[in-house]
Amino acid sequence: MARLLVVDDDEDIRELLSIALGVAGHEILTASDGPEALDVLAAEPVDLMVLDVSMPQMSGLEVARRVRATPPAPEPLILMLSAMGDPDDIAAGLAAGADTYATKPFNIKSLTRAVDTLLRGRAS
Amino acid sequence: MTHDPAFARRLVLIALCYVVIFWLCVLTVYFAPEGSDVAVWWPAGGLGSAMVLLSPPRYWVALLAGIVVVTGMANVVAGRDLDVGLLFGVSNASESLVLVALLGVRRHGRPLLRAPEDLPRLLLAIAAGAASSGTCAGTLVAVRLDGDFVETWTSVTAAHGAASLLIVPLALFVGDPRASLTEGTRAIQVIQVVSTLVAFAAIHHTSQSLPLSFLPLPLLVWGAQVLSPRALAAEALAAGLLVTVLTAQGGGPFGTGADLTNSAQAALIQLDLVVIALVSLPLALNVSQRRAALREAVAVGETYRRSLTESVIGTLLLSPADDGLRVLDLNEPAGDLLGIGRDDLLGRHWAEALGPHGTTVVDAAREMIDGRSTSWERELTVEAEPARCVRIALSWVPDTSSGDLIVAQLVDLTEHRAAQRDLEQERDFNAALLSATTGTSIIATDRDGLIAYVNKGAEQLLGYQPAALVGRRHLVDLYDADELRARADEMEHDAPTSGDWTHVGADGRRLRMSVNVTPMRDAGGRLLGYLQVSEDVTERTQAQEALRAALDKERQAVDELERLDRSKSEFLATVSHELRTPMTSIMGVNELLSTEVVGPVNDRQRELLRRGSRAGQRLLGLIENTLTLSRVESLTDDTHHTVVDLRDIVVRTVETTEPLCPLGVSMVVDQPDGPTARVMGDANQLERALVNVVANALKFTLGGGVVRVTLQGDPPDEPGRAVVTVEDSGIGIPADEQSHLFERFFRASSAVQASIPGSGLGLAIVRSIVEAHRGEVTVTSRLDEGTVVRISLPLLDQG
Repeated sequence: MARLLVVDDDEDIRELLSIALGVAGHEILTASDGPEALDVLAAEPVDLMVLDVSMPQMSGLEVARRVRATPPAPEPLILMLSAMGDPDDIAAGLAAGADTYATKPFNIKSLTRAVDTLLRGRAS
Repeated sequence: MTHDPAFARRLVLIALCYVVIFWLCVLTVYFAPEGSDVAVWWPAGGLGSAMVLLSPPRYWVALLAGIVVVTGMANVVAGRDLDVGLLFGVSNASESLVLVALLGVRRHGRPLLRAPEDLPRLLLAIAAGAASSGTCAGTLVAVRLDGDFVETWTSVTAAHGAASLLIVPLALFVGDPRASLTEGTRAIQVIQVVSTLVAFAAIHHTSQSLPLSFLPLPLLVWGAQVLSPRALAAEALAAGLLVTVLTAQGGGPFGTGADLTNSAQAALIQLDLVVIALVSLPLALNVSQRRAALREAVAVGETYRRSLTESVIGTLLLSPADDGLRVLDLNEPAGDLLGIGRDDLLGRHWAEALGPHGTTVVDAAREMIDGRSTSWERELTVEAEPARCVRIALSWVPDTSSGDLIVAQLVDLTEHRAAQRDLEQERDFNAALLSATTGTSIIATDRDGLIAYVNKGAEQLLGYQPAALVGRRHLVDLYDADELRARADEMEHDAPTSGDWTHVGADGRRLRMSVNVTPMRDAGGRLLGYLQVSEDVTERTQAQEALRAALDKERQAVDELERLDRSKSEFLATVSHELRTPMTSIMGVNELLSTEVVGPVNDRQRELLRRGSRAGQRLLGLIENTLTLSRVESLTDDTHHTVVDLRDIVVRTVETTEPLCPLGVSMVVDQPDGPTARVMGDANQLERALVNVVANALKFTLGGGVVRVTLQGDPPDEPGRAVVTVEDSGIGIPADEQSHLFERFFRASSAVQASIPGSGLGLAIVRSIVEAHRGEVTVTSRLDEGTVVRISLPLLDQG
């Protein structure tokens, strides 16, 4: 049972992830863009962010960099989720501060497993 | 004190003079006639005067004082009282003082005796000096010795005057080169001197008393002819001495035999001496003057002769005769120029020697004789061997000792004219050369840039008449003024030196000229002016500009194409990405429903969800391939290529594709052991290409078939290349469709009929990748039998 923040400008994806990860037993917060995500992080403690890369106003890479530059307490884990799956894109995401990188389209089962794996790693 | 040797010599001479004066005084007083207080002849006075005359004026006072002392002492020694002696000394000194004052005051140097005209002044000075001495002595005798003034005055004046008349001229001749000129030979001179002195001695000898004192006079005249004035004066002095001494011995016409009173004897001797001096002196001066004049005349004549004979200008002296011009004389250059020997010309008519031009010259001479002209000049060709070009100048010289003369001067101009002709020819050639270059503009200027020459090319290009430019316009006036201002930093001395510049023609036309300006210097490096050589490059410049514009357009088009290509790839990437996001939602919703986490699903619904997911997968595959193709096509450079061993690619491909292998289909791999299949390339791309091919082969091979993957490095039928073949025993491709296999989105009809899914992009991707590696891909297939895909890549250089 952890508190997750789903950040994606696509409402369908936000909804899909909220349902899938909520079913897995997590508390879900959502944000539709980068600035909103940073506001939520400043207000609420979050264990893990599922962060889209291609967003208007502020890209997921920038959000990750800001979070890593001035981390809130507790510092959230970041799972970066993007339609861009080139090795260069993955490297850029990890460099910006992501703990792991998943590509769209994703398989719900494997995504849920990846989230659990990250949280377990944090817990230990 | 000075140690000047000349000064010392002078001192010695003066001392010697004083000694002689002293002894002369003593002797003369001793030789004075008995009963007389004064001597008949007083040479000491003349010697003193001579000494003073020959000394510089600054010594005079000292010398005169010395005379007073020396002659005074001599009188004392000869038996006179001291005071009387000193006063006689004063009398002596007064003579020298007056004489020197009258004779010696001259503007330049000491007095000279050269012409008979100089004699009156000398005689006057001697007479005045003697009179002064006589006056002093007369006064002394009258006051101190109770004697008669007049008698003493007369005798002293006569004695001093006679002596000075013989001594002073000799002094004046000393050191004057004119006074040593003679004509006689040494022997004749010796005979003359000896005979004269012998004659005087004989006549005045004690054994002779006849009145023959006139007899030596012709000898003196002879002496004036053969002796120099100085020698004659010395001879006269010697004769005077002889007369005085011998008469004092009682000999001669004035001796004891004549029975004369003392004063009469003295007067006769003095007269004799005066006559000797006055006969010899004027005659000697006359002869000497004549000699000098003659010598001068000879020298002038010699100068004239040499100016004719030694002149390098050919000169002829011609005498006009009734029948032409007779040659009186000529020099060597004249003979050389005319090509005729001197002896062949002398006395002949010159016209004959001049050949055809003879009459021209004779006519010119006649005009001079008639007084119509005084000079004439003409350049003629003389028919000597070789022919020469000679400038002849005639001048009329009337009334010479040889009568009227015509002087002809000849100057050889042959070489000068030849050089001039060469120079003119060269100038003509250069001018012709410059004029002939009509395509090039050549303009020369002076040092200040004022145009001095314009060739035909400049005239035609710029449209100016040369007269409008030469001496009127500066070179920079031909340039475009605005351009000169704008490009001032490229100029030297306010004028362009090289490069392309705009000229403005006479009609305002603008010409682009390629300009080169060079300074012209003479042999000494002095700047003469500037030479501008320029060519019209207007058309060339225009053509270059057109070419540059075309190239720019081309480059823009290429840039535009590249930009379009890039945006196409970006567009594809964006579209694919945007397609994926909703597909993610669709697939995720399908998955969420199938897993029943949101509610139960019956079998019918599950089947429908499965179909939706399958269609979604196909769409995603299509998107994936499109994305890949666009990425491959935008990666045409090989900068990130590395050494790749194709054996690794084959192994990884088999590993990747094995899960796709349908039931009953077997995969066979055949590849070499050694590292003989290495290429330069992108391992990921190559793997993707091979995976596509192998996946296709597996997809189209139905149950029981075989897919064979073969790798060959450097095969005999294709040396230097690595070849991968993928062979299947599948459904094959109809022959008429094989040419379309590599087109995007093309699907073979056999595949469609067999309901085998695919995007139609797989082989397009393969071909793009292989071609990016400079390789080739070919497909051969037979329907229902199978397909062979062959990929050939260049091997890495073994070296």
